[in-house]
Amino acid sequence: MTDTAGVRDRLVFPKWANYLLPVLVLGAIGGAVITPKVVFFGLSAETLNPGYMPEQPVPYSHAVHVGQLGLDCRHCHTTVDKAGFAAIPPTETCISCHAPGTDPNGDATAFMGIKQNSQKLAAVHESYWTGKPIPWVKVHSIADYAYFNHAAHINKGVGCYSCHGRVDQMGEEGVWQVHNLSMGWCLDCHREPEKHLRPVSEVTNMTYHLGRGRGPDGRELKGGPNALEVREGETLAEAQLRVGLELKKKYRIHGAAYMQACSTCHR
Amino acid sequence: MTQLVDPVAAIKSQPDGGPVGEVYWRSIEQHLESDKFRDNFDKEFPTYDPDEMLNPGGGASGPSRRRFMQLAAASMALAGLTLTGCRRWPKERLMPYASRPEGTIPGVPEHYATMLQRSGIGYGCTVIGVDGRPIKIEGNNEHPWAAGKTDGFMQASTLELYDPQRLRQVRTVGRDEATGKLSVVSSSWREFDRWSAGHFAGLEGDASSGLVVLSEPMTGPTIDVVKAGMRKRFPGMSWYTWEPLNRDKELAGARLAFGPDQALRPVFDVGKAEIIALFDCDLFSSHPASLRNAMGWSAGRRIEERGGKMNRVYSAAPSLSVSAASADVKLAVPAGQIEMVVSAVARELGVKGAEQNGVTLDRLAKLQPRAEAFVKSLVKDLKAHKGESLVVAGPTQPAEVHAACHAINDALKNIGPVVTLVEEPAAMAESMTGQIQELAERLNAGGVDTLLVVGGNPVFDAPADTSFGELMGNAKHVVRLSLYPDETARRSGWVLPMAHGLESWGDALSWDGTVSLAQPLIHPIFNGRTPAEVLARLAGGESAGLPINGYDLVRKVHKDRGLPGDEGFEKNWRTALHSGFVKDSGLPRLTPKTVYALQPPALPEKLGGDRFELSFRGGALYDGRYANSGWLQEAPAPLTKATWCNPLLMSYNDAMRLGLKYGDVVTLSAGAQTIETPIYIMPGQADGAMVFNLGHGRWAAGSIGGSGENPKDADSYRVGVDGYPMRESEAMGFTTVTLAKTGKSVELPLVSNHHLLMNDFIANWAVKKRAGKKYDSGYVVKSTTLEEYKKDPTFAQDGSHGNMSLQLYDPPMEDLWLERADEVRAKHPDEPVDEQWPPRAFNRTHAWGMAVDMNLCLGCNACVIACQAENNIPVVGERGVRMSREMHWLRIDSYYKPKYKNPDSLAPGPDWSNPDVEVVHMPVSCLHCENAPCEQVCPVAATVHDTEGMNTMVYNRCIGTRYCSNNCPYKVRRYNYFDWHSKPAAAGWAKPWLDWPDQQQLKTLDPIERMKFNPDVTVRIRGVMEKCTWCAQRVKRATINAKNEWAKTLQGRPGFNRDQPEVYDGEIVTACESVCSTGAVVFGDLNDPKSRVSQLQRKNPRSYKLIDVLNTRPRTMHMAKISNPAEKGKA
Repeated sequence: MTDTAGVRDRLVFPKWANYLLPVLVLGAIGGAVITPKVVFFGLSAETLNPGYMPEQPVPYSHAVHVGQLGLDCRHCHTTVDKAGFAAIPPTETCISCHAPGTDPNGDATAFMGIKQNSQKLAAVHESYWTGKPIPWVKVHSIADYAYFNHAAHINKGVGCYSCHGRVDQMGEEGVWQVHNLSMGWCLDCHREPEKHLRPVSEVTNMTYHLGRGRGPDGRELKGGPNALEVREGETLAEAQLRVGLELKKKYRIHGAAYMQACSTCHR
Repeated sequence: MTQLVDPVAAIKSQPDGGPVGEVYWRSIEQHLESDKFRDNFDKEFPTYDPDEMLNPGGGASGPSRRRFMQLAAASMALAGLTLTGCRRWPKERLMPYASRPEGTIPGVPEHYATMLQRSGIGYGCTVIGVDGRPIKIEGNNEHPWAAGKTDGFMQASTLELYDPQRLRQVRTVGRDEATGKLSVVSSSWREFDRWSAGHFAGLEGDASSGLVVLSEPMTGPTIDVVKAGMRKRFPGMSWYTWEPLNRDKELAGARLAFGPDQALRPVFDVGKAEIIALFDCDLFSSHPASLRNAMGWSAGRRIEERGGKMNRVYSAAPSLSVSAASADVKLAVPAGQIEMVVSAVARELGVKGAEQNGVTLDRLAKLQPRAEAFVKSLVKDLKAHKGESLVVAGPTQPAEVHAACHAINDALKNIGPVVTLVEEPAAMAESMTGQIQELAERLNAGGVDTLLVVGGNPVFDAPADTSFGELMGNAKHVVRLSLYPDETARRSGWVLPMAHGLESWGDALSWDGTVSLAQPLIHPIFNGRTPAEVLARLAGGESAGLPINGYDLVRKVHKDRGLPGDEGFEKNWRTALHSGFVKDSGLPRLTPKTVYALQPPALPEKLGGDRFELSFRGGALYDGRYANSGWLQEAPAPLTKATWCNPLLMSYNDAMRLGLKYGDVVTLSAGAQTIETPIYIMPGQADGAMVFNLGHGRWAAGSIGGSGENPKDADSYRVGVDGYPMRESEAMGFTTVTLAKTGKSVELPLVSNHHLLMNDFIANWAVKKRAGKKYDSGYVVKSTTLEEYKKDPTFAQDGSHGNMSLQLYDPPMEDLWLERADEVRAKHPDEPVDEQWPPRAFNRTHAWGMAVDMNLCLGCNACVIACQAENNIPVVGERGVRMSREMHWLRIDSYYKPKYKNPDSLAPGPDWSNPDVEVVHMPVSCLHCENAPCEQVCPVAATVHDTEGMNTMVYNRCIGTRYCSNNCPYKVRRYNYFDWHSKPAAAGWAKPWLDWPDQQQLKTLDPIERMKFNPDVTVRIRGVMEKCTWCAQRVKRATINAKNEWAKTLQGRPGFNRDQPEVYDGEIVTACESVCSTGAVVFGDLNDPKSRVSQLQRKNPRSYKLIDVLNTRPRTMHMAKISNPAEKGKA
């Protein structure tokens, strides 16, 4: 008979079981709310992509070359208005200014060159002597099934700044990704290109967007002489819209439907 | 209440093999096996085999069910976790040039002029290279002979270039005396050079009689110079040339006709011929000048441009070939009886010597009743078209037939205006069959010390009676230069990798003698050398005045020869290289008189019972050299639509008499030789005649084309059946065999019955129910005769609903929008209004459209392979094809229109016993319907329209429901059941997902094979649908270029002068359009009323929309086929 009692005792729920249901329900609700949030935000392009700054084989500083010396982007990225790829410059482009001071045997060369013997240029010089490419790490990457064409944008007045940010302020630490480069981000501009268009002559201008003239608060704008002209009583955004719409017409930029058609980017 | 009719059930209840009124058939099988057909009709993938994943290859070696479940679960988990957008991209490296060559822009395709040599004929072309990789062959518009056209074999050469199974290094092969096993030792060029330096020094002087070279035909100044160098060093050397698909009989015929010292080849100007008579001649497809001939043919078929005139093609042949099927008047006759037919034609025309040949029409009629009317009609036409007709015989026919054809052309004064002759290059002027026989005799007698086998594959394809394969071992040393470790390489001592045509410097003569230059686009991937490079070294190299480097050699030869132009050699050389040929180097066109008096024809063999005539012809794999090309293996053969096999073609009457069905295996025997092969019942085949394609059944081609010498070994694998054992040197064209049934049967991988269009059943039935005319073909195939077409030019639009030239998005719609816009404005006055409102969103800027002229389509398959090369289309293998899974974006449906048992009523069904069938080829790819049924059912909007009328397919959105394919009335959508690219073609299945989705292909694809991909086209992974995009990448390249040029003109940049940002007509050429030798495909902008496609779609009454009853409004319009038969009753 005791057996039966024992069995019965074992079959009775313990006390803590009273809390089980509310805990499970709360957990389920919490999980249902939090898990998608974690997944959605944690794996979104905005979380994953901006700020990506891989270490490069050469500590090249755009801040020095563009920001301080004022080189135009196209001085090195020569194909940007001719081809889909902006093309990383060949080693020879670097060598045209930075010819090595010593040859692979350590003997002095007859070359003239800036910072001839700098250790930071070691990888460039090695590439020059061996003819092997410098293995740069790709920063701005889009999916293989999307086909971005630099020339198509540059020739229609989309500035480098619009996608790459203030490259002229990126130093030896390397170039980092400013925007998330997701499809949604692309489409923002493909829907309303007028918010970003600038005269083709200013596509490589890194401060165009800062404007010139006086802002609504009366302060002098810092974009420099070729920047976006802000008229009396206009905000920066209004000025951009005014100029952008004009340019859209002038450059015969397609309507939003064309720009959003799948075949524009996918093949 | 009205009774609802289930259309499928209604059709199934129709009597005798199909709905009443069925006029066009995809194959005889469709009729014979109509029950199977009807059952499969509503299933899109009828032969799905659920065991394939569990039991690949049918063997016991596949994964177990448990393993499958594990893999499936792992795949699901990975797929769920790793949606490609949701993680940081893997780290990628950018590798810029250290020193970028001037003018190179990374990522921008470059075009180079070069040449591909096949059978001693140079085919000029250009190649598209991307970042140093040649990826696509295009035409060379400037080439005086090639004229911008290429064929399927040339298109497939990029796949061959990147075939990882090519010979990858120098090897020595020896046979272990004790065990008899082959031992293959890796070696190197350095070792070969060391060995050959010593060995060939010992062959100089008197010993040189022991040196024999056996090469495939090679022409061009460079190889001639190298050959002369070899002869200088080895005066006693013998040089033999062998080619299985040779033109021995043609050459012998020319010698008969023009004199024994005349080695001449005919050059045809087919465009000038109003009457073209083909005697077992595939003038437009397998002839060495086929592209040019097809261009000429198409010029004569353009009715509207020629004011209602059209050429007429007569063909007498044992079976349908590409050219025979295109003929307006056909005669099915065994190859052995063609001599009789030609003799009768000559006699009726009164050609010299023919009066006495005794072939009266009565005698001919006794032999072949249908021939009489054919000859009468042909003779009448020829007499009426003196100086503008052409009579040609094919390579299977004896020399006498060729000579007779020359004599007929001469008598008709065609020599000159239509036919000219050029001297045959010396390398190809002697009978090749005779040469290989002589070599075999010498090998048999002994005394051959060193045999150099350059290219070709004689062990596999030499005439059976020479026993060349066994005799080759009699030579003490066999040195083999070849592209693949093939059959001949297996029997050789030294095996040397040959450089591929796209890796070589060289030259060769085009058909008209133009010297075409080859320049490489890539360094030899496997360190191959060209024949000229190898032989120049053996001839003594630099010391003999022959540079051993290909570039220096070719350059020196042309420097010594002199190039046309007056700018100095360097500039002239660059000009010649740039254009890919030496200017004005074509051979002089001769117009000699015939000296031949026709002889009475030989009596044809008696056929019947189990005695059949067997003709040989080159097939999808040419002579077998392309066996390892998945593209060529899987391209459905013209007419039969057979893939991965070469069934024996047989007539309907013979098959019925013997009780044979599709795929039944028969044994053919001639003497001691026998082969076993499945049969195919071919419409239009002559009774008693059978045709067999050569080149299949290789045993050392590779994992795709067949391997394993002993067919009984477990790992040996064959594709199709080897026909060479039946081919003897006395009967290279056709022979007589006896046939025996085996009782066995196989299922042939045919695609003729895949992707059936609705006309076959529902649409045709609906037409009958509604407005159909008698014998109306329904909504799919439209064809008629020239006479009928002139009476009723708009017949193609009969039964169409409304004005089909109107577009769905044309102004009426826009007006509606305008009205609505005003309403909106009135309602919301504050709403900012875009000045483009209402946006004319569609047909802007362009409205793309395509016209496909079925009257110009020969069904030659070049477009299918060009499409495959351009668009990274995978190969699925034989099992995949059986399951209807072939991936071709573009297919060519061939429809047969037979005679009917009762001409007044179609009910008794087609009469296949009458070989007189008409053939219509219909290329079908995605038609880019404006009202696309696929788009309406896609749950994720993965297929949608763009604003220019393109039906786009967004791979990254596709989740693989396959609804779109179900709903597509044209069946042009293809689904990736596997990651086909990483799946070996011979295997039943591919590797499952075991990695990040975007990394899987990188890891499973061979790094060399991967180089063939077009970087402008997404490589699709499994689980997504795909289809023709109208070469969106080419369209985008052209439109972006146009806009950039215009924008730069706007900026005032020097060197730019473009007045509009839109593309001009002709700036965009799709892959299929670019390759088509007859110009049957035209792509362009419908917004431009002057564009070629607008003109064709709107002005040409033959244009119609496929199955327009469904109101899908395709943007691709087909154009009806017109035939030009001889006038009825007056023949």
